[in-house]
Amino acid sequence: MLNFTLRRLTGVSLRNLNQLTPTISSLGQILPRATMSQEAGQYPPIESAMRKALNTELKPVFLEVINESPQHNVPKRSESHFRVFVVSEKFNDLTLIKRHRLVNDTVKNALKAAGFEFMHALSIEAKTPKQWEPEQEPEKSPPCLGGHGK
Amino acid sequence: MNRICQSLLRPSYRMPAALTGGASASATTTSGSILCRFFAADAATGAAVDKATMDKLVRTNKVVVFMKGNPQAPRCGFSNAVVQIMRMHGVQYDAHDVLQNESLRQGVKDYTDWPTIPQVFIDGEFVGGCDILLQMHQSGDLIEELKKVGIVSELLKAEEAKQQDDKAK
Repeated sequence: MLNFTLRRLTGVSLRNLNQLTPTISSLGQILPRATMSQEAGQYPPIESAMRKALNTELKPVFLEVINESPQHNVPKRSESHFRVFVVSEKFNDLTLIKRHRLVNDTVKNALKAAGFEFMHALSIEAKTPKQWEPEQEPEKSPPCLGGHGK
Repeated sequence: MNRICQSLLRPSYRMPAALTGGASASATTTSGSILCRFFAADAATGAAVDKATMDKLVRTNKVVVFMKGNPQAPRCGFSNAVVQIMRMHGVQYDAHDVLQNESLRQGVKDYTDWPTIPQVFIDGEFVGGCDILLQMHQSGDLIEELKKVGIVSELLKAEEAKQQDDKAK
């Protein structure tokens, strides 16, 4: 019984650890606003999988992936909270909710394929090229209120 | 553990009076002139809340919000943003705290096939999360959506009152 409980606990914590503590520190962490032309390998695993999938699926005119985890109540170098700013022709004629679903699904499938669960938080700004002005900055996320409920 | 601490700290969460099939307990609170009900259940750990129950839950009020924490004390910045937007528009809504109920947290995600919390429903229809609400608020679409279900936004009222004033001058 004890053995079983222990195993269950370890199983859970391992899974959570996977999400919360990526294996490598990389440029993506130090310079979250690095441009998308850089090699995917320079980013930590989850961010790298996201970027790759979004670039392939959405063919964005502009893509910015920001790891906001350091602003939240999670261990250092986590990949739990992200903001995505993406401008793509694919959003033409899609309602806001469909655009968000497209981004969510793209990220979800990519993470699943790479063996990760969906991240804790993903904030999305999805614009069509017409709605976008190059000098436009992504919105800022609201401050953390400590509710990392897992 | 966290959850246990929360419920100890906020005994007000655990008010009796079941509303929907025993899944939730309800508490009615007033915040200024706005009446908003919030629901919190025991920290159930069973299976995700099923579709039939969710169908009912999202229709208990014209606007229903699934969030972290309650409107008086949101536990997440994104949930807080939704609460603030609703407050600005003077919307009466039902709020469900998913941190109090893991089954509900999973249930609502399965129901909408949407991975994150908060989630907002208007007239039983899933509208979106924090980002979408914020953009609808900024574009004025939220006022229109609320109007469709018979809710006149406080922002619209203020705007109209101002226009009347200007005319009178």
